[in-house]
Formats: sequence, structure tokens, C-alpha cells
Amino acid sequence: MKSKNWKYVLGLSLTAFVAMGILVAKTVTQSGSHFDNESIIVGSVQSSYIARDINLYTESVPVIVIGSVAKVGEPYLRDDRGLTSQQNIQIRVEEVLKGDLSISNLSILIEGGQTVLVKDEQKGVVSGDDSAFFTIGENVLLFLGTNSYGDYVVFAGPNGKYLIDEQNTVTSIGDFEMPLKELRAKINAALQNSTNS
Amino acid sequence: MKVSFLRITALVLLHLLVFSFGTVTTFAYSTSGYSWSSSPIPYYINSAFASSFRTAMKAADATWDAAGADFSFSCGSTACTTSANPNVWSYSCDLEKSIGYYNRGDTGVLAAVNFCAVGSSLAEADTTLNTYYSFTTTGAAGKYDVQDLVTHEFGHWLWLLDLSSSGSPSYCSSSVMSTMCRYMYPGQTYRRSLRTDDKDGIKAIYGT
Repeated sequence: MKSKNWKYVLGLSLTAFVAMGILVAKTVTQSGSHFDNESIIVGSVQSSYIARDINLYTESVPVIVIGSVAKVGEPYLRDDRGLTSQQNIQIRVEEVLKGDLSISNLSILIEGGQTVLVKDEQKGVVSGDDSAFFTIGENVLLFLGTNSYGDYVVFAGPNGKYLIDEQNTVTSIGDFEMPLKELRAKINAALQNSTNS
Repeated sequence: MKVSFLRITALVLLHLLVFSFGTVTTFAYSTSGYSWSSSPIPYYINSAFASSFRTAMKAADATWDAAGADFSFSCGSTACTTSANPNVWSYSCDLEKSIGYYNRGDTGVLAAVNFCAVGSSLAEADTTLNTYYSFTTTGAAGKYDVQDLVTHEFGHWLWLLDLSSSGSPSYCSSSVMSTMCRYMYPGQTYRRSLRTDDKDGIKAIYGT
């Protein structure tokens, strides 16, 4: 009987240990290169973003819209601002929460996708994996900033993109989830504050 | 009855021990598969940065050098500076590793890292600070701390990835604040110091 109990203790402990091991292993994310060893790989990371704060984002950006993704352009190489892979996204605007109320369509620039690099002696792949990405037909609320060339960009990368589902729940990167009604109220309150101050 | 009580206590203690071991050894870092094939890696800071900014950047380098891994950065020149174009990524893949600046506009991006690699070996890494925003070396309110930011950037040069990207959103909370957390508030300085997770990350890539 005594021996049986200790076997039980040992067995249970071993199971718990293995379970913890699996949990530990799962938290380490590692991925290798997807490209062959002879090519140059050029990549970019939009490294540090302004932390998500609806008040701060609302005050900072020139444009906040609700709309749907009408077109996702093919990635293309841009080398006049350093080598980057970029995509143009077309948004059909349904409502303007901040900015020019007459906007009905918007073109957004993102650093994303992969393009083939053939330039001078260089050959390889230019990759932009660190952006807000879009799919045609998505309903979105977007905080839009402008880059120094005047292009609209999603503010703070993926943090400025909010996906709206059929139940009018809004989700975004980092486990963000909120009813659209509540997010609108926060944006309106921030707009009101910035108008008053 | 007494024996049974002892057994239950032993059982509880044993499971607490197993659980705490699992918690302590949880790795909160993420790597890309890229790494430098040699060390130290010489780098340059644009000479147009204020002296206090350059000092803060070198302090960020020293923080990683002291992490206990078989890797270090070194200044590429005596003063660690270069007078080249501060928009360091405008001449991509020149193999010079530099910290510069560039007005990226009101994009919500405080700094960007660009890199060149051949296979899985890194050949170049550059960081540009976005001068649309205001920076400080004192953690002053309303501005972004250079040392906090560049310590994070050097983590990318090593090739640790951001935490709180889609794969690991829960790691950057108020209770878990690694240098590789990507978000930054004005006045924030906690990323100046490495957490165990950050050190585990660099050790996992480069060994000890």
C-alpha cells in the first residue's frame, strides 16, 4: 500500500514535469531562414512602436477611419529610400472619425511582402515581415499617420489596425478585444479632450 | 492519520517544487535563425548625434556585452563615430553597421532596424531613429529615452526578435518587462536593463 502511494506520487510528479517541459518548449519560438545560402536576404524590422494608448493615438494621428479593404497590391521593390519591399492597400472608407470627412477612398503604404532583388552585383530577396497586413474584404478601423513623403501609413504598424467582426467586436494585435461601440466612445472622448485643450 | 498528513504535505511540496521549476525556466525570448558568425562586431554611431546620445548608445552596447554570452560589440573607430549620411539604410548592404537617424514622419515607429544576411549569417545591421519624435537621455517625461531604445535595437542586431509580436503577445505586460518588448511609452527606461529572458536569448544564440 505504502509503495503504491509513492508510485502514484512519482507518476503524478513525472507527468507534471513533462507537462511543464512541453509548456517551456512551446514558449521558445525559433524559425530558420527560408532562403538558400547563396542569396542576400534584406529585411527590415520597424523596431520600437509607440505603445498602444487610444488617447495618445487619437491625438497623434491626422486620420481615423472605418472601412473595408478593397485592394491589396502586389509587393514591389523600392530602393530610393533604402531597400524595402512595399505594398499599396486600398481602403473603401465608410466613416471618417478624424480627418477630412469627404474621404471615400484611401491608399495606404505598408512595408511588407517579399520581392526579388537584382541590383548591381546583389541578388536575393527583400522581405518586409513586420507590418499591419491586410486581406481583401476585411472591415477595419484604422489609425493612420503619414510618413515624411506624405503617404498614409498605419500608425505604429499592427497597433493601428483594428479588425471589426460581424458582432461589431474589435480585435487587434496583443490580445486587444473591445466592442466597437466602446472603442468609438474612447476615440470620441479623446477627440473631445483635444478640442477642449 | 499522521502518516497520511505527512504524505499529503510531501505531495503538495513536491508539486510546488515542480511547478516553480517550470516557471523559473520558462524562456520568454524569440530568435530568427540569423546570427553573426564572428565577434566582436564593430559598429559606428553617426557623429551628428549629441555627445550625451552617443554615450547612452555606448551604454546600451555595454549592457549586452555584459550579458554573459560569447558575443560582444566594439566601436568601429576610436570615437565610435562615423560622419557618413545619417540615413544609414539609404546605402543598403554596405556592410557597415551603424546607428543613424531619419525623419520617417508621424508613423508611430520610433526606430527601425534593417539588415543584410547571406544564408543565416548576418552581414550588416543598421538602426535609424525617427527624428519626427523627441528623444532624451534622462528619461524625461514626454520624450523617448535613447538608452532604453538603443538597448532594444542592439537586441535586434544580435538577432533577438520583438516580444509581443503576434507569436508572444502576453510577455510584455506590466509584470513582465523584457528589453525585447517592443512598445515604448514616453519617459520609459525599464528596457535599459536586461531581464533574465533577454540574457537567456543571447546565450541561446551565441553560447556562453
